[in-house]
Amino acid sequence: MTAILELSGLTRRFGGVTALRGVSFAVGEGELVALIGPNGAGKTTCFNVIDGTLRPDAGAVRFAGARIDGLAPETIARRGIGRTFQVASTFGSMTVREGIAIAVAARERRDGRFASGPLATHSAAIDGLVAAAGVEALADQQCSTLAWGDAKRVELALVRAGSPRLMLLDEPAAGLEPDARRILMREASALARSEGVAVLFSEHAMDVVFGFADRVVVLDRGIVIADGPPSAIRASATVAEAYLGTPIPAPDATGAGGGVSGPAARGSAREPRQG
Amino acid sequence: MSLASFAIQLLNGLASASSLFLVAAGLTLIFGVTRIVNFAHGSFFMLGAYVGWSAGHALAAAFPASQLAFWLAVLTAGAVVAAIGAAIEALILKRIYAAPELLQLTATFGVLLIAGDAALALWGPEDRLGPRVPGLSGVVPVMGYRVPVYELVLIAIAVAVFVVLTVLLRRTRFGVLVRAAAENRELAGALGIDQAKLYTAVFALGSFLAGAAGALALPREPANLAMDLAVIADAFVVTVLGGLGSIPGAFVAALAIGVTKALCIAAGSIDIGGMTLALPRLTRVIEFIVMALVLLVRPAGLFGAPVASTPTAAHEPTRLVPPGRVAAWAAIAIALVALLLPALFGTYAAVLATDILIAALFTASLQLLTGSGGMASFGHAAWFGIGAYAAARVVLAGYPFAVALVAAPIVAAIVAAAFAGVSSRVSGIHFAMLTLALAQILWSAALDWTPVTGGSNGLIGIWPPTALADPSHYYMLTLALCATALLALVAIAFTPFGYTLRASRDAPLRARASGIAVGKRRREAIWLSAAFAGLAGALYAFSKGGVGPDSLAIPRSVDALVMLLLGGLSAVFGPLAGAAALTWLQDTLARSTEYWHAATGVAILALVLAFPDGIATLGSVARTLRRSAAAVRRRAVR
Repeated sequence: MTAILELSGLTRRFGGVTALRGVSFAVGEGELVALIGPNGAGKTTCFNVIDGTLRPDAGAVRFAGARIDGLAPETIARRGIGRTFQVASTFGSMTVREGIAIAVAARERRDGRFASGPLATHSAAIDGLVAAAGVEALADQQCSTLAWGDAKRVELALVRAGSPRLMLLDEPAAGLEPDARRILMREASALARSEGVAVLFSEHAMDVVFGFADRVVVLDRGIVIADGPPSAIRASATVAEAYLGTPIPAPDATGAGGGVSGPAARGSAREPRQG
Repeated sequence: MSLASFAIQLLNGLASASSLFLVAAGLTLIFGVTRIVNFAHGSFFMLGAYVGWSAGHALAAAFPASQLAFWLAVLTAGAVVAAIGAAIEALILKRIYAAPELLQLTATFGVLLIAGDAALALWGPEDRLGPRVPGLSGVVPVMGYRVPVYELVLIAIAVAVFVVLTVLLRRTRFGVLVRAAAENRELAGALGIDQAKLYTAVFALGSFLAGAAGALALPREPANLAMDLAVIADAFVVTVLGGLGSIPGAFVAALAIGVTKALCIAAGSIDIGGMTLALPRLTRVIEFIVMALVLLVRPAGLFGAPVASTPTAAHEPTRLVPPGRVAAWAAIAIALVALLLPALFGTYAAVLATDILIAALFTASLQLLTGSGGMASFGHAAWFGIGAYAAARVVLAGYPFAVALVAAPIVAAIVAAAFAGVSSRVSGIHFAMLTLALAQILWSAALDWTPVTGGSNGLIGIWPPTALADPSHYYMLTLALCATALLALVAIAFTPFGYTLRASRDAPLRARASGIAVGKRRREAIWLSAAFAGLAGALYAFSKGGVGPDSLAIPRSVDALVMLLLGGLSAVFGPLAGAAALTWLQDTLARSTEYWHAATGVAILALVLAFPDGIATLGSVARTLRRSAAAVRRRAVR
């Protein structure tokens, strides 16, 4: 699998706090990768560095082979990276349809036009996105009045409107009912499977992580402590320690399929105790 | 220039800075806690001067040949103004703390208008020179020069007030409460701080400082009716330069402004490439340039913490509804009435309607910037005035009328594009202050750059060609141009660009993550808005036969805000409705009462208090009426 996104040695400090220390991992085309870790591990900082909201202090972000760190968020978005926010963000003063229409216009580089007629809010592309998000009934509702879960679906539709090759989803399942979670994650994984869109999502809900991710990257205090298939991560004592604070005896990891690459493989002091 | 004479100028500058610090300290304190940009603070200063004058004369009889009369008068002025400030806070501002910033600002401007006319009624239009203060009106020799004792006294007072305020804020329970409320309003409330009392107390303290400063200014300048706006512009500069809410910031900024002014006066005229630049006359321009430069390097001011982009509670954004069939018929009906107006109602109506149309275009240009773009401007008159002066210069240079009408928006757009490039890092309240600074720079340049602008007389004899000399004919031209421009602005609001602007306003991060170049779109909105405002300015110049500095002054900028808020920030017909309401109201009031400023102020306050959600659109009027009708019914049932 070719990597669409490659992070190498990303470091980012906020004053005295180092949020990311030499973070390196990759996301392949059409791959669903979960980024997990305790609160404050650096997940959102990592997203903000990838999408250009923050500049890394050191390290590089490569997207489709080209360096993108240091570019403006809008430029990175236009290269093909879409993202959602932890608190779903939509365009409050617009209807769902208008919001999606402006996102489509932005993808088609029509968003700055003021001399070529009104924004088209009805087109096959817009209707398709509305239908795909399952928000037909809400299409003419103002975004500021949307319920939490509906706002998440609309935001995902805004992201999809940009036809991204990589989607960054910041806690997509947070605050959703189990059914709604599954619907949202199925939509994301369907995109990955059928259209080859890579998905990097941060998540606290382990059923979502282990139910949908092809691979899991674990961050703890700004360091990647594990990177591997879900089964290996589930079995990793290092990960359990990071979450629970105490080392617990490693269960037998045979049959976990694939090993965990990570600091262990690179000779780090924090070695996953696994078989 | 000798060192000694420079030292004298420096002392003079420091004395002015001291006076300014007292005003700015109160302003910044009030802003820090209540987040209200208080135009009425200038009125507090002016009222302090007048009250100090009256009290000084009354007390001089009781304490002949004693300094005591003066100091008692200063304290009286402070106390009276503190009471006025507290009353205004409790009766008016308390009701609109949750309202949008622009509405609060408009309300305080309403208070300023009322206070100005109150001073006119009580003290008359003449300047009121304070009595000589025994022992303070002399001079002391410094290095062979004679330095007024009073300047040294003022400096000492400012330092003392700075120390007292710092101790008050750092060492007392009141200070802890003030700082807590300034830091986090919601949390302070949740911790059980009685906000209502605290806000009133802070307002009283800030007003006391302004009132006392007014009385303290008397030995140096007479009390006069122009003090309020003059001082508020300077005080805004100092508070923004120092960082909103910061007392040390206000102190340092006031010193910096004072020293800069002294340097300019000391430097005298300098020659640059054969052009003589009279620096002493450019002090005001230079102080605004200092502020602009500081904001560019430190967008939150010298001592300011970066203000969150949305300091006030999130207001539910109003949707700009695309005009439907009803709106189209309404537009046609309005156009028909407008076309028949001169024939039906005569020349006077045509003249008034010309004013309304120009005001509507000016307001609609602000709606693009502030309504759709979310960029509040306190100095929109800058673009209006540039357009007006540019048109006048083009005609005076011998070019035809039509060229002037084309050149005006282009010149305004070019200046605005430069301004947009420079101000791109500055946002929110600081952007609004920067626009105010620009307008004030241009205003003082218009006053002082006599060869080009005609100085305070302005440029006169700027009439349209003879075919349009009749007011009814000029009205028809204005109607055609303004209607086209207004329709263009409505159309722009619904183009991808218009939606992009609102998307950037609603959720800038979301917009950028969707590939929208937020900064670029905002810069485009600034120059586009300026172009329309410039056209309005040009039409204004030809309708009045000339242009003067008032076309750039603060009241014109505020008028645009008032009209915009009256009509509704997000209402397609808002600018026209707001312009018609305010222009008609001012015209009617000006013909029926000498105190029409105050009457306008009362009308503004009434509207703001009746519709604290901001917007006097027909929809919200209807909602409010329904609500009060329902309340009456409920009471009747009981």
